Amino acid sequence: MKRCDSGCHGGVRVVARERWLGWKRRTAPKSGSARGQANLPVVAVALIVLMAVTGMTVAMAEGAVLSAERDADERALAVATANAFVDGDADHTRRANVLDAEALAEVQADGEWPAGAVDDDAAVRISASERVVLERGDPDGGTTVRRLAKLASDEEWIGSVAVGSDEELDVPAGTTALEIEPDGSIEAVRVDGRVVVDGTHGPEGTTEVALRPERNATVTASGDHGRVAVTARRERTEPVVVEVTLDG
Amino acid sequence: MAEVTDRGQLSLSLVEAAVGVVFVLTVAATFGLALPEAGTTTAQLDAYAVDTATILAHERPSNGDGSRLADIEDSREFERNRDALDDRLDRLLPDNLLYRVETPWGPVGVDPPSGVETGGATVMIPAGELTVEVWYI
Repeated sequence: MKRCDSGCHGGVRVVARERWLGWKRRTAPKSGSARGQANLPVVAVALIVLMAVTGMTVAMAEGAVLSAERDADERALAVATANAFVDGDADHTRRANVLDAEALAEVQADGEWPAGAVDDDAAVRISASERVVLERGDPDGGTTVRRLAKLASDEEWIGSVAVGSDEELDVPAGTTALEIEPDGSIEAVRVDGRVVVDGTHGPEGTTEVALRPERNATVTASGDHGRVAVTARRERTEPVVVEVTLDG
Repeated sequence: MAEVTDRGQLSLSLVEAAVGVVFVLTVAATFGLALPEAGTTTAQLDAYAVDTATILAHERPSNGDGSRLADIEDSREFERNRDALDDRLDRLLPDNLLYRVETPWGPVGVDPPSGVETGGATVMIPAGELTVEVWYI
C-alpha cells in the first residue's frame, strides 16, 4: 500500500484512469481518506508491457548477433572467391594478378567456376571492370570485395630476316614468344646466337621459341637463300578491378 | 491532509514499468549502435595494397616498354623512371584511392593525411623493400 501525504499532483488523472479501467479505489478504513494504490491489474499490465519489450529486445539482440556472424562468413567467402579468382594457379590467369583475356572469355562462355571458389548455394557475381564474368543466383546487396589485377592479351608483331646476309632482326622489347617460319634453303636460324632451327636436315615447319621479356633478342639466319618470317608475340596488359559480390 | 483525501495516486507499477521499458530499450539500442566496426575498410585497403605491390614488383608497364620495377636497381634509374612509375600507379589504382610507394631510393606519390585509415603491403625487390600504402580520398 502506498501512502500519499503531500505532493501527489498526479492524483486526479490517476483517479480518472482507474475509473476508466473500471476499478474502484479502495479507501483506507483507518484514516478515512480516499487513497489510490497500486492495484493488481496495473501491476499485471506493467508486467506484460515489460515482458513484451524484453522479448522484443532479446529477439533484436539475437538478430544483431546472427547478422554479424553472417556478415563475417559472407566476407570470408567473398575474400576466398576473390583470392581464387586472381590466383596465379587458376586456369584463366597467367601469373598472380594477371588474367588472360582469352581464357577469361572462355570462362565467361562456359560458366566454369575456378577451383577454390565457393560452391555452396550463395549468390555470387564476379565482374572485371564492370563486365560480369561469372554469376550464380542474383546477389542483392551482400558483401563486395575488390581486387586489382591486369588483363593480359597478346599482340602480334611480324617481321622477317633475309637468309645468308648479315641482316639482324631486332624483335620488340617485351616479346614473350617467337614463331619462326623459315622459307628457302636454310642452314640455321639463331636467336641471340642460339640455334633454334636447324635446317640441315631438310625443311622444317613453324618453330616456337619462348623468350624472357626482359631480353631484347635478335634473330639471324644463315644459309643459301630465302627468308625467315618471324612473328613476335608480346603481352599487352590493362589494369582491371575484379569485383566479387557475395550474398549468402 | 484534507486536500489529498479525494485524490488517487499515480500507480507506481506503471511508473516502474515505464522506467523498465526505457532501460530495456536503452540496452537494446546499444546492440544496434555500439557494435564495433568490423575492420572491413582496412581489410579492403590491405587487399588493394597487396595487389598493387604484387603487380608493381612482377609486372611490366602496360605499354610493354621499359623495365619491371624489379629492374630498377640504382637511384639514377629510379629518378629517370619516377614519373612513369607515378603514372603507372595512377592507372592501376581506382580513382577513389591515393597512394604512396616507398622505394629504396625514395617515395612516389603523396603523403597520407593524418588520421586517415590506410592499408599497406611490403614486397621484396632486388634493390630492397617496396612498401605500398593506399587510402580512400
